[in-house]
Amino acid sequence: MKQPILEARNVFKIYDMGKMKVNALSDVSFKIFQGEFISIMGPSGSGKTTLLDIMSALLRPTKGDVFIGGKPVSKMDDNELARVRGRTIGFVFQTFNLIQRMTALENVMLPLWFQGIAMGEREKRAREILERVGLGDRTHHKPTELSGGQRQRVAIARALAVDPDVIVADEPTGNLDSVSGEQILNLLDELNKEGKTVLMVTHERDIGKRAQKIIHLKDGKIIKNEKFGRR
Amino acid sequence: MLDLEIVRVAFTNIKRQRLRSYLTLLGMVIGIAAIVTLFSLSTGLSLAVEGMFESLGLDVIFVEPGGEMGFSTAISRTINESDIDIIKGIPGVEEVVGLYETAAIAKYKEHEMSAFIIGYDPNKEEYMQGMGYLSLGKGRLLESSDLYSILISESFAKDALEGEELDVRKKIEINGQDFKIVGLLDDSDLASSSFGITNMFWVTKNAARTFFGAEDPIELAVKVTDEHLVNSVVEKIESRLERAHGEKDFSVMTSESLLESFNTVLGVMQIVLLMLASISVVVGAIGIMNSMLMAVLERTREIGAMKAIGATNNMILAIFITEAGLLGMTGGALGVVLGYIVAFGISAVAGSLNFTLPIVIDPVIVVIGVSISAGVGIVSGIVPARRASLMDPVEALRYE
Ligand SMILES: Nc1ncnc2c1ncn2[C@@H]1O[C@H](COP(=O)(O)OP(=O)(O)OP(=O)(O)O)[C@@H](O)[C@H]1O
Ligand SMILES: [Mg+2]
Repeated sequence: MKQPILEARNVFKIYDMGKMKVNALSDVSFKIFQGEFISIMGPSGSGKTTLLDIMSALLRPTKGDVFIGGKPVSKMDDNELARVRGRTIGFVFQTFNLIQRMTALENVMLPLWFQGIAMGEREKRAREILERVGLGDRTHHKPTELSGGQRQRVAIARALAVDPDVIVADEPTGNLDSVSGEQILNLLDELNKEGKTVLMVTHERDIGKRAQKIIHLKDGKIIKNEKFGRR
Repeated sequence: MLDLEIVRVAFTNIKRQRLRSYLTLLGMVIGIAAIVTLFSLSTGLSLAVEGMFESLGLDVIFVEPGGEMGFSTAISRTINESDIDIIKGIPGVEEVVGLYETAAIAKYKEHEMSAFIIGYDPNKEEYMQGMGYLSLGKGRLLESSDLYSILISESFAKDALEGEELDVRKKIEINGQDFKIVGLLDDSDLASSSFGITNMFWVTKNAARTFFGAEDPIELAVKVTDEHLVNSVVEKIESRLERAHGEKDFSVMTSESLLESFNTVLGVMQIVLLMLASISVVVGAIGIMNSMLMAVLERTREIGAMKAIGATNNMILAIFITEAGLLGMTGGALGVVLGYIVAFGISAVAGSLNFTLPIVIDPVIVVIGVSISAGVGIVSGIVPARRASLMDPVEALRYE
């Protein structure tokens, strides 16, 4: 049997708010394999973002464990988590979260810098990837000089820079108009066809259906696993 | 861990800082500027004064009224005419020159001015000149037979009277007696201008005694035959004069000891000013810390994003500390520039008052100024940078 790239095993996330406890996730287990495209869907507050953050080693579970490439997150210290995140996960956020003062090129070079890759190589790779997402002519633009869709493509380029195993995207089209949203989804589709694993949070069924699998969350629990054939 | 790119990243961040964060740098700029100005001025002052004492000569001893304190110029008459002969009797003494000083009011037409009368013995003119006094600019020096003749300085002649210049052959009334200006003294260098005192009226010793009641000299300048004899002659002057006066109501100084006491005074002044400047630097440090704390808060989401894409806590720490260090360095560099501008300005003002104050740009001061400020910046950056590095990435990303 193949080893999953990411696996959550009986994960709980409980926020202790003093007077009351919020069960953001309760006993969630699931696996992601190489090359899959999975959507997480559910109503607001159902724990989608929490699950995505836990799966991508940004957040530690209260109980249970997450395995990244077979290694348990509970056995890693913060530095190791940062390293694992930096190498195996590529983040795409709803609000882009680019560094405003840096150009598109510099933003894409940033994760490579954190990985200790030499200056010349950083720049070369960043240029290639910006080219790949169709922004070869926007390398020296700052985020404020780009449209929303272009910003999100810079963010995807930044996520791709380290050639990660998984792209995780939290409502990547949430802040975009339908046309640029469509372009971003097509880009994620293409990347998946080229072999990238994609884990995406959305609350729109149309968007969720582009995946091969939808995990439905409600009140922090998986209530349904929906599978589609490869399109 | 991270390569030199960190400096460029820090620079990018600083460049985009708001005006507010530059204002918080003001304390640092002023502190470093104060230190630089202070050091360059006091170095210049030292050089100027050293040059002055050198021109007085190392083979000259001064005997002045008063106890220990070096710079007392109080006109107390404890030196006697007879002291000249006592000192002349000491082996190794070549000549003793007495200066017969007093204050008076001078009148020229309707102008009144205070005058500092100095009488000297024209026979000893060459010794006076050897000590840097009496360099003639125009006219002639005094002769023994002169009674109603005076010398004044060129700058006094030019500037003392509003709309009118004094010159050779003009007459001035002092204490009701008319005197004729026979010569103008060149006081363009520091030694002859005596720290910018220009209202010195030189008369013969006889005139000083006849018209100004200066029977005894106020101070004596003793020239020894050989520089190496200075110390032994000083000892003998002290013991013989003390025996003659019955008490030590005078002080004996050499160029060297004058320079030493000057340097002591300068040193105390430097320490006091340095402490004031340090307070400014501390204010600057607080400013940088404050501005970095604001920056960390403003960039919370960025910090979250950087952590998500693989930055370790130490990398975040390094990024913010570098930024704080660079910010401090910027303040320091501006401070060094400002400090030298002020120093050159003061030097120019002093120059226009005939006081040559050489200012030299000293690379050591530049390096020290910039590195102190970089160091202070780094230290002030530790707390904000730690706060940034310890942020929880998820909370940081959710920060509004
Ligand atoms: N730091 C926190 N402290 C306390 N409660 C939290 C915290 N973060 C999340 N929660 C709670 O956990 C639950 C799940 O939140 P989460 O952000 O995962 O929901 P979501 O499905 O992503 O919602 P949305 O669609 O609105 O983004 C919510 O009830 C939320 O209030
Ligand atoms: Mg969410």
